[in-house]
Amino acid sequence: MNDTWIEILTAKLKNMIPILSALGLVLMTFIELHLPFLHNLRPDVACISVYFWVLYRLDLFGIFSTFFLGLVVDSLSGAPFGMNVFVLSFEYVLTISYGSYVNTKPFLISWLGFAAVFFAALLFKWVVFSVYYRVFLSFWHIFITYAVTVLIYPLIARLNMFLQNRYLADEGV
Amino acid sequence: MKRRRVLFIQLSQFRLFIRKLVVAVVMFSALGLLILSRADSAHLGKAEDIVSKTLNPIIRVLQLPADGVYFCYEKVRDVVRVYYDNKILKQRVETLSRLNSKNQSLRIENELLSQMLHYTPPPEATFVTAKIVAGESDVFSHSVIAYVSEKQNVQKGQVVLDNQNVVGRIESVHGNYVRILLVSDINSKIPVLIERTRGRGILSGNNTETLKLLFTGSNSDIRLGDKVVTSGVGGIFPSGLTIGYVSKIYTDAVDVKPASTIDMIEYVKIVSYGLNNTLLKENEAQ
Repeated sequence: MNDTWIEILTAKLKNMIPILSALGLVLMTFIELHLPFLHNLRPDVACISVYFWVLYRLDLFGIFSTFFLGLVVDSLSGAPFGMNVFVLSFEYVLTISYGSYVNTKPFLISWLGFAAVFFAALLFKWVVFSVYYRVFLSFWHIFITYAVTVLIYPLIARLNMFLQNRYLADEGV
Repeated sequence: MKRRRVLFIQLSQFRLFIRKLVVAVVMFSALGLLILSRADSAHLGKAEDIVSKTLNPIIRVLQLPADGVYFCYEKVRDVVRVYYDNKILKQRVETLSRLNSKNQSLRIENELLSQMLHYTPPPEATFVTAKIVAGESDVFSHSVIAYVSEKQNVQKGQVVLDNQNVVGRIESVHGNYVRILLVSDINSKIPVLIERTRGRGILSGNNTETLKLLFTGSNSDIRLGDKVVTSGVGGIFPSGLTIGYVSKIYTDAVDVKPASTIDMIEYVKIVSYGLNNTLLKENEAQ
């Protein structure tokens, strides 16, 4: 074995780029900006990250990464523990099941794929939330979250693509 | 031709099966966590505490550039506002100087009457000021995280004000970080009364920017702009704290607009009124 420990460490760190970038993005959405027009406008970057990395780098972003990301979102957001884990796992299953239809297609198709998967995930979250609290949230706010997240997808995907091409392109899929 | 018998399933099929099994186990674990959190498990609270203590300092560091940008924005906005505010303040000073002389006489009168009634005043409220370091106001939850010193002895259940209006209460304490459940969160239920009519009700958050006033009674005389204050029932909030104003009246519901702009809050006052409330008792018991 010719690899030095630094090379091994670098390789390990590279493999962690998807989960680290997802964590970074999630943490950034929790930054308080004190802007009134951002009320209820927080994009669901955890869902974007899970979809993107599961679609393109399933080998580096498995179900345990999804589970961990969900736990972090749950503990930061104050949502019931397990809520986001459950929803992100559901999204993971959806992406694995239907991702093969979009992952070799142009970007627009993968964007539409995200719109469809996120719609199902958000609907699922809404149902779980409603059952948990026995109250229905307003559809209007759900729609705003959906629209903002779908609109911001290209930006996050672009960032993830940069990370993929810059640091992970030489890794085997 | 001899038929080849297959005793075992192929390795790839086995791997696929294991992968599906793991996904199913994870999903069931998540469902289990949800059910446990419904039962308010103490172990989950500890797990949440560990994650919060680990991640909140990172958010605090990430917050610094955003704070810088906001600081500049605020300075520019303040300069623009100074002229307008000065005009208003001049008018207010005139009004206050008139009221001050009236208050002096009322205060003396009040002291005399209190002495006659052997009235014992309630203890003075103490407060600590805390900076909001992270926020979560999405469609599924409305809470913020504030930084406090551990020495300040902030406890679960304490009232959180922006300057003078109620914005929430302490939901949990994780070392130097406290989670504040905002009044707009779906879990927030506060006993209130309409200041003008003294009619009681429950003010409930619903994860939107307006609050719902419930259980007000069908014949209660509620008008647009009525001030909604805490009633003091339940022993968590003292009476008379402003929460918001009636903004819409429907046949079966009343909307209340919070008095403070919750999204714009940068610093909050965590107030201890020295009330022997149920939440604090529960905290001590734990």
